Formats: sequence, C-alpha cells, structure tokens
Amino acid sequence: MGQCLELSAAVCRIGVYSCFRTLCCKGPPSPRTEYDVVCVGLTGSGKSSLLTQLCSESTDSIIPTTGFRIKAVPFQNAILNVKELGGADNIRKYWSRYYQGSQGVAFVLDSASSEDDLEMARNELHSALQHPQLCTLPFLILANHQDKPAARSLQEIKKYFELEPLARGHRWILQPCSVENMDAVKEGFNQFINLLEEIDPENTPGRL
Amino acid sequence: MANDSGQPVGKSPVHFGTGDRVVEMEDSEVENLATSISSDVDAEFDTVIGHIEDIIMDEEFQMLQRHFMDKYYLEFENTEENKLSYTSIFQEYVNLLEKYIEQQLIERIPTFNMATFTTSLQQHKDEISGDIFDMLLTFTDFLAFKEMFLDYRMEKEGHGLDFSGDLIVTSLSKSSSLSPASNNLRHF
Repeated sequence: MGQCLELSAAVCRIGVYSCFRTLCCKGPPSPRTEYDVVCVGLTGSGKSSLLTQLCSESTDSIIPTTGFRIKAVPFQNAILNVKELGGADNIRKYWSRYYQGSQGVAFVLDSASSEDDLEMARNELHSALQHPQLCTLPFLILANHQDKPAARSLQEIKKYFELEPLARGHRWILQPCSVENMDAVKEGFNQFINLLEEIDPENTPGRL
Repeated sequence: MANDSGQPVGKSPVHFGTGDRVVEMEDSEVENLATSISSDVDAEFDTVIGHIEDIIMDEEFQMLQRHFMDKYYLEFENTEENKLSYTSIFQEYVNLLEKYIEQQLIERIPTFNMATFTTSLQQHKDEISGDIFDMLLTFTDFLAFKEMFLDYRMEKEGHGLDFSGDLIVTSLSKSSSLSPASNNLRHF
C-alpha cells in the first residue's frame, strides 16, 4: 500500500503541470510554486463564495456544496490547489478523508452566526487543529461575514476560539474579511502563502 | 559533497579510499563514472516503461478498466462540484488497477522496486509518451480520473443518440420525382 502511494505521489508531482486542473486565471501556466490546501468550515460560512470570487467568477449561482470542489486559485507568488469541502452536518464527518496531502488549512467561519453555530465552528476548528494529518500545518482562519452588523470583532473571535492556547504549535493567521472586501481576503492568503513557503519543500510529504 | 581536504567535488581531483590507499581520479573519470551509472538506471527505467506499455495495452487490463468504468460511469456528472462518492470510487480504482500493474511488473521483473522506479519517473518525466502518462495520471490526479469517467460516459451515452431527425431518406428510383435538393443525397 505504501509503495502504491509512492508511485501516486511521484506522478502527482509531475501531474502538477498538467492541464487537468481548473486554473481559473486561464492564462498560460506560469512557474509559480503550488501548494495543496484544504478548505473547511460550516455550511454557509462562505467557502465557495470566497474561492469563487478569488477566481474572478460570478457568485450568483452558488448553492450549498454537497460534495467537494477542487480549484486552482492563483495568487501573486503561488497557486493554491484548494480542495473545498461542503460543511453541512452530514458531510463534515467525511472531511478527514480529504486531509491527506494537504500542506495548509483554510478554515472559514461566519463571524455573524448564532451562538450555537459559533460553538459548532469552534469545535470543528479545534478538531482540525488536533487532527494527526493537520496538526503540523499552518492555518488560515478567515473570520468571514464581517460586513454584517452581528459580526464579532477580531478580538472577540480570537478569544472565543481560544486561538492563543489551542493553536499553539501551529503557525496561524486570523483574517477578518467579507466578500465585499476581497482585498482583505487576498491579504490573508498572501500571508498564508508566506507561511507555506517557510516549510522546507524537501520535507513536505506531498502525497495525494 | 567534499573530499578530505574539504574542497567540493569536481573542482579538484577526487580522492577515494582511506588511509594509505588513496586513489586519485581526474574530473573526466568522475564524469564517465557518473554517466555510466546513469545510463544503467536509464535502461532500467526504459524497460519498466516498456512493460507498463505492454501491460496497459493488454486485453486483460483493458477489460479490468472497462468493467470498472461500466460499474460506476452513471455516477459521474459533468459539473464542477464533485460528489463525495467520487472519492471512494477513486480509491477503489487505484487499489484495483494500480495494484494490478504493480503485480504484473513484479511478475515480469522480479527485482522490480517501486521506490526506485518512482524516483526515475520524476527525472524522466519528459520522455514518457502521452498515452502512458495520461494513464498513470488517472491514478493520482483526481481530475484526470474524473475526466476519464466523463469521457467514458459521453461515449456510452453517445450510442444512444437519435440521429433519425437529421437524416433525410429519399427514394432514388426513376419513377419518383427528384427535387434538385434530394438529388444531392446520392453523393452523401
């Protein structure tokens, strides 16, 4: 089984330059580094919307994701191959099947959600932070929906999610944002890419 | 890499051996040694690729793949979003077919080592032909795998397409009156 994965990993690294991915900038492939990122969060937190906007596509027809998406999202210094997973109750239990091979995690939360939902999001974030396949990876936490009146502030989120104690051992970024302010989203991702770049590429497992 | 005197290899004669028995090699000798080692590895790599070609062209593999796709092709839809089921089907596909290839390789080359091969794969990526590469890609790149199923589905469902609305049937016997338009059908 281990050997099968080795063949897979080798071809996967070669396949990185293949044109099978949906590269949403639609330009010629440029020699930017690529990183595999998994994007999770509760349903309605805004994962699909943010990723779609980052690819300059229309968000008009977005409906709750019931499966998963793979999108190659271009940034100035890197391309992130994002595996985005639906966040509904019945899908969350499958998240961990998609963790392998990830080099970083993007966690999206709705800053304006109910107390119950916020608690659920906290539980999910903590599970992810502690999961064996994610526990050494950098995390980008996007506190989305900041444009809504009920949105908790950055400090409130940091405190409620107990990031200081619980994200210990991780490199993490907490970025407040909304779909109305894509600059903030990009800023968060660019800082996240800096974290990803700090990892020694030779030591990255990089398995699919 | 440095030799005893701490100078990098290639910049000065390379010393092999320890203590009294030190053999000094000139740069060109080191180069020749390196070339001959790499051409052995190349030959081995080419052999494996040759075998993979044979294996995937073989009827047994083709049938294995086709049966698998028949089982699941209806599950695949041409949408950006992927169903969770695609993942379990993907894993089943890899387990079934990649393992088959590995077994076949070991039968042909008892000393076959997957780890050595995958390292060579990286270095020789430009030399692998399109077909083989596409095939190997479906084991690792989920989107290539999905594309393969979508293509298969189109192929299967294409046979069910009804062309009758596009065809005009006109009798060409002398007794019937032929309009200039239908006359052209003879050259169809």
